[in-house]
Amino acid sequence: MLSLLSLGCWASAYPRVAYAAAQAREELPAAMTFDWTDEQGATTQLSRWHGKTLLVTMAYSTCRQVCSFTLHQLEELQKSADRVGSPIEVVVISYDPNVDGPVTWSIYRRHHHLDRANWHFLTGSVANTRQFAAALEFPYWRYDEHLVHDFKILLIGPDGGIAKILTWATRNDDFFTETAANDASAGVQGRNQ
Amino acid sequence: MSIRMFLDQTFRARRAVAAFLFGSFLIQTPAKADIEGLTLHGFADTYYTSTTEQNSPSGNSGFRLGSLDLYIAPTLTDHIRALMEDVVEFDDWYPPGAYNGQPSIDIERLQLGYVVSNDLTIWIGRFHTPYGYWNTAYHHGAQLQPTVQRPQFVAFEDHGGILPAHMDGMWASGRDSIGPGRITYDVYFGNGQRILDGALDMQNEGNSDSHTAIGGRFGYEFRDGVLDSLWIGVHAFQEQVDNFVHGVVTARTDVQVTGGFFHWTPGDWELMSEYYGFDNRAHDEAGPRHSSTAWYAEADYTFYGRITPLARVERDSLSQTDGYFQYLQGGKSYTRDLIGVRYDLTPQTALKLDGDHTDATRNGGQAYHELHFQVAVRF
Repeated sequence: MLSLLSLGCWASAYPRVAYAAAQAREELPAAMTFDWTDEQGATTQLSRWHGKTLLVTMAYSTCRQVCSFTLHQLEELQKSADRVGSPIEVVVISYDPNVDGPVTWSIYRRHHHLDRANWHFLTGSVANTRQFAAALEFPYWRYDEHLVHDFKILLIGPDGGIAKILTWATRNDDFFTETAANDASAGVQGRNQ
Repeated sequence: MSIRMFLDQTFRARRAVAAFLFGSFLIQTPAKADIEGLTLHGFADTYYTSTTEQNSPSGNSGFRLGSLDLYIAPTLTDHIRALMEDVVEFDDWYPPGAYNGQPSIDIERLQLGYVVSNDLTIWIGRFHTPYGYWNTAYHHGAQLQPTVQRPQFVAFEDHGGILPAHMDGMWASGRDSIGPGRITYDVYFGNGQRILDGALDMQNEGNSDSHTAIGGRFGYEFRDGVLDSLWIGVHAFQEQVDNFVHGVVTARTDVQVTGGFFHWTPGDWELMSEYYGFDNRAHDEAGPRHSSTAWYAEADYTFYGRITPLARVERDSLSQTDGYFQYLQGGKSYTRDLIGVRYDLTPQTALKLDGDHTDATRNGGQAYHELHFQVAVRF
């Protein structure tokens, strides 16, 4: 009986997740226009890279497990894109604007040798961060100083639409095989889940 | 205890657990799930322990349940916050003969806060006492902490800890940017602790002896340069702690603690340490002060965000003529050397394997080996 009650706690969250999933595509255009601050302190928006292939994820600089793995997977995807000659932009948006900022991200990049010019580490307001995470389904919650979140990378095609989603279940998938690169360039709308 | 009493206790405990979980279930009904702040999160863990310690107060070898930790932290308005953390667990540090084999439900934290500004929040309620690093970094989230168990002397009160991990009172907490980093500050006061059945009790139902605990923690967090991410600070607290045996005070001790800590994550390294110096004195006597020390140091390195080998040393030198340590079951000197590895199977699931050698022979205890394997999840 207790087990069933416990399972009920988790099961009841599913309708909310499904609802959020249905919202994501509709809310992407709005999310592309949110203001962010890059490592140089300049204001920018994701729409700046419209017409290019984007890898987008969320992370924060003091995270040592999920974010480290996410950044490692981004590096692997970058290598894969390089192999097939597919130009991409990589955008990492901070979960934690209270801690992260241009200086913090600059140090983080230096420590982790993430120095390519097509990688961008952005920070926004608390409100924009919340709305962006909700719109693109990057769920997270605070456990005091910890920001608890999952692994996720979005591939946004040149048309500004979500072409693929990398989750934990598909974490080793390669976006940039020849076929994937062609699909992404054509802005194919499909989910890899 | 008669069979009838035992069955009554068993039934009451199970009914309490069922009611608690059912209440949690109701909170998560879909109709309310869309209201921001009512989302329920938490942690759970279970583990296997092998120990050579005989008659261990913390249990024997075998499979063991850790804790089921339910966490709710609604933001009620822009300025008012609430934080509730309830844990169902088996308290393994019951006094000999009192352990009844039933789980207990503890309201570990229940704090209501007023956010004065981004730099200052004032809390009232029961909170984790802000000293050192561990107590306010990992709380009850077993899946978050690198090792299976906390350092022994930093353990919670009902697991043999010698520090007041919980406090009922008020707490001002904040941080402010200064120079290339920011200062952090915590000041608190609350009900003084007392010792009941060999364990610290934080007096949740009122300050029966009117003793006030007061303390603070001040630190600096580097956000630039070679020391980026280093958080270093000092902490102190003092209170009068009385020992009770069958309702009678057998010792009164003025406890005074000072110390320091640091936590640093250069790249994929994590380094941390905490030090506590006790300068206690019997309250009713003009006798000598009793000095004791406790510290640990830990280092780990994370490969690809998933594999984390680690090592920790713990050193605890506690005066047995001190009325505080004399009556605390965990108040015995010990040394512990621990190595382990954590593997993040998924972002939500950690597998941990720790092995340690503990030597508590200095105060007549045992020297023994332990091996822990833990599965810890968050949800």
